[in-house]
Amino acid sequence: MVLAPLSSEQTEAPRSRSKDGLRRPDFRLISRAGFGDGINHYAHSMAWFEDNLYIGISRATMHANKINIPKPDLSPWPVDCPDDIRDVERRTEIWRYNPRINQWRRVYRAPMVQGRDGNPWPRYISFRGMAVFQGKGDPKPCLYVSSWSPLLCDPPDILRSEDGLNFAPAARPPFDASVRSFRTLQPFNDRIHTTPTSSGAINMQRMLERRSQDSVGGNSTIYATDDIASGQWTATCEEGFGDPANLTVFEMANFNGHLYAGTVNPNGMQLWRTVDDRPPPYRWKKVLDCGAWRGPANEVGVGLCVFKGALYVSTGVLNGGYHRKLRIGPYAAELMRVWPDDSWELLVGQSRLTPDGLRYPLSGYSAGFDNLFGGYIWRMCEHDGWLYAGTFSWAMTLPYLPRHYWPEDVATLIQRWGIDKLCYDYGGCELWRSPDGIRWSPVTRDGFDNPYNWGIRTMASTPQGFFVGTANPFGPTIAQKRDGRWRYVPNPRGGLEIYRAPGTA
Amino acid sequence: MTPAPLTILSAPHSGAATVAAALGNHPAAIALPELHLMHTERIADLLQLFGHTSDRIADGLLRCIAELYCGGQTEDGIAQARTYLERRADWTTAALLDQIIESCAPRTVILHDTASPLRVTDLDRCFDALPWGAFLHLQRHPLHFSRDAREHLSARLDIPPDYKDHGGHNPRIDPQLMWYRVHDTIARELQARSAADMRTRSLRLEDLYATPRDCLAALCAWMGWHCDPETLAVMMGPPKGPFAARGPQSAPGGFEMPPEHCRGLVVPLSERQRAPWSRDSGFATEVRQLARQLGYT
Repeated sequence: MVLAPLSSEQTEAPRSRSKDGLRRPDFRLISRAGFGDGINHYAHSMAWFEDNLYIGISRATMHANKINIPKPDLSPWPVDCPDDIRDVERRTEIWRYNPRINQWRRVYRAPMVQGRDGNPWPRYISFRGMAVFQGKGDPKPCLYVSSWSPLLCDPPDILRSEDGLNFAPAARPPFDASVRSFRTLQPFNDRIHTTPTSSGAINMQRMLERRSQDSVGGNSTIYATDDIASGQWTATCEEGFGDPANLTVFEMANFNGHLYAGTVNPNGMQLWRTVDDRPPPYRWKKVLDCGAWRGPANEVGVGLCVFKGALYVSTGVLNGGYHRKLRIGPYAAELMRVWPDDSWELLVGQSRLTPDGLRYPLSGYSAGFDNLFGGYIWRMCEHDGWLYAGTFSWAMTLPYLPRHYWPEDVATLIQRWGIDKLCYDYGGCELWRSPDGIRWSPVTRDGFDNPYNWGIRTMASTPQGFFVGTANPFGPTIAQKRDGRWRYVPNPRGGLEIYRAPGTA
Repeated sequence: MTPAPLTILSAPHSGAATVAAALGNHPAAIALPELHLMHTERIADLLQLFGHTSDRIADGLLRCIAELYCGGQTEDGIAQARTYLERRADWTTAALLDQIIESCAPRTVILHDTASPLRVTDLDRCFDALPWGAFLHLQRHPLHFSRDAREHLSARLDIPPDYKDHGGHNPRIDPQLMWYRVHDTIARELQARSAADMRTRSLRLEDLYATPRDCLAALCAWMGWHCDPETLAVMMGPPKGPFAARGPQSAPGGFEMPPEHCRGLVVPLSERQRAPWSRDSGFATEVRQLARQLGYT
């Protein structure tokens, strides 16, 4: 499938404006409404490969949440969902953007396969990670894409492509059959690393409800291989780094010659790094503990990004700021940075006394960039000498949340501001820019004028500009209250969006 | 010619309004209420911010606009001031500040700002808006600050998170974090700016209380103002000027001082005790170190 351009925009990389960083007017919408299919909810992964931009999609995220246990307490459900998840078209897709001719093309769509219950199921429902990597057996760098499989299908695969057009599963990693997806794919020292996650089970008797958590796995180990095609994966660390409270390794980054890994931990995230260059299993050192001493409010090490000599670490709480199963939150997210000597500074967040000393947010912004609804600082990316940080905001779920049992002061505050005003002012995700990690200015605080963009999920700095992909699960319909009654209406701004801005990597 | 304004940068509960009032009593000066102008780049965003906050941070700017451009600080003047700002929503806050300073000429405008030091981008905006201005870092002993902050917070239902220690499960009130954050930020940023020839100076509130005439005379000399005993007596007297009293009911605030300072620059009884540095004060190492750097030995 090929999509016509949204506008007659220039196809050459626009002029750089690195002095000031990118501002809202610099960003142009280059794909809207989930590539014309509002059920394409998340631009979940993004990679630049052989002069093209690739987007891996998560489909029907809001639909899948409806069958989760515990189910989010939303009423009415924000989008119209069939009672049976099998009635939702969930075969996920990979899209390619050619910036020279401003053209989108769907280059892969997951097949339907027979599930363990004998019924047809989509083989993959999401592509959560992408990396360009040349393994031992690869003749050249290839595009690898990690997948997410429904509970009644085989475990997920890592797809491999040499040309960006033909994708095929590589040998499947030997993970437990309960593993449903992988998190990131992280190259480091000629090996690629990944972590299994989203383990779960399914209840066939109760409308196929999922007893799983999207971001928690049954195996919190980092695996590595120097040749994905071989299927030979080696554990690089003890499970959970020896701490059973580390439920999952959430994110990884390569910084200062070390592999860094952030965990999910209900007592507060931990950050670990390798100590030396020896082959797996690596020796590891803990750099941050107890959510950088904020405790459960920093449950997850969500994002890692190298910028001007430091590793930037963003946090969050699972499920967008309120971990339903463990009832952690709601809390807004923090941002900090770690230096090569393992010292750390708080950049965005809450002041505190810690065993490492007093910390206050050097930027002056409290958690969530002063936004209570900022449950994650989700992704970060350097472009043209500036650091960009994108958030997730749950404000747009306010109309559907039960407010009768909220604390009185919070309910009063919400009442005073007004739900509509809150959704209008805070309803979308935010993108911030900084030249130094301390001075932050907003690029957008309203989801690029779209309150349904609840998260900045992917970013890529490329020779053809800076690209931003959103998470937007409010399509293809949305529940709206009109004349006192809820009804589902088409939502033309529902579904993921992709933005492009000038500059070069 | 418009004289360069003086901005007093400090933490809340640290005497910024008191010092502004004393300086504003000089015949060459006028002290404005706290304007909260530098939180945003544009007036439109500032008006949106005013609408969101539960504190009355708009009062100072509304009173100032009412006094200068809308016939005075009456209920009608305040209403007109709101309209005045809405009509200039596309202006930059720096442009509005420029206009206010021009309107006050030939008197030197005294600004006090206890909010911008909380955020580096706001502080940058201050410096960028007034590269020709003078900046005074007003300091206060962390013990005195903490005591007054606690007293103030005890009367509030909603405690601003900036005054809490967020380590662990239950955040607890601990004003030393606020003290450290503000003074560390101001000291660091002023040091960077003073290297670029910006006019900067510091003053300990305790020194002003101990030797008010000397301190005020030194500030007059720094600002290039004439100074004689009569002038100093006026500066130490009850606050004068259009903003010394509270504003009308719809915008009463913007110039908050301890009640005793309505009678002039008097030393509060509680300030006369020496801070117990020799004992375990309960302050974090960083707080003690910064306090010593600021001269609290």
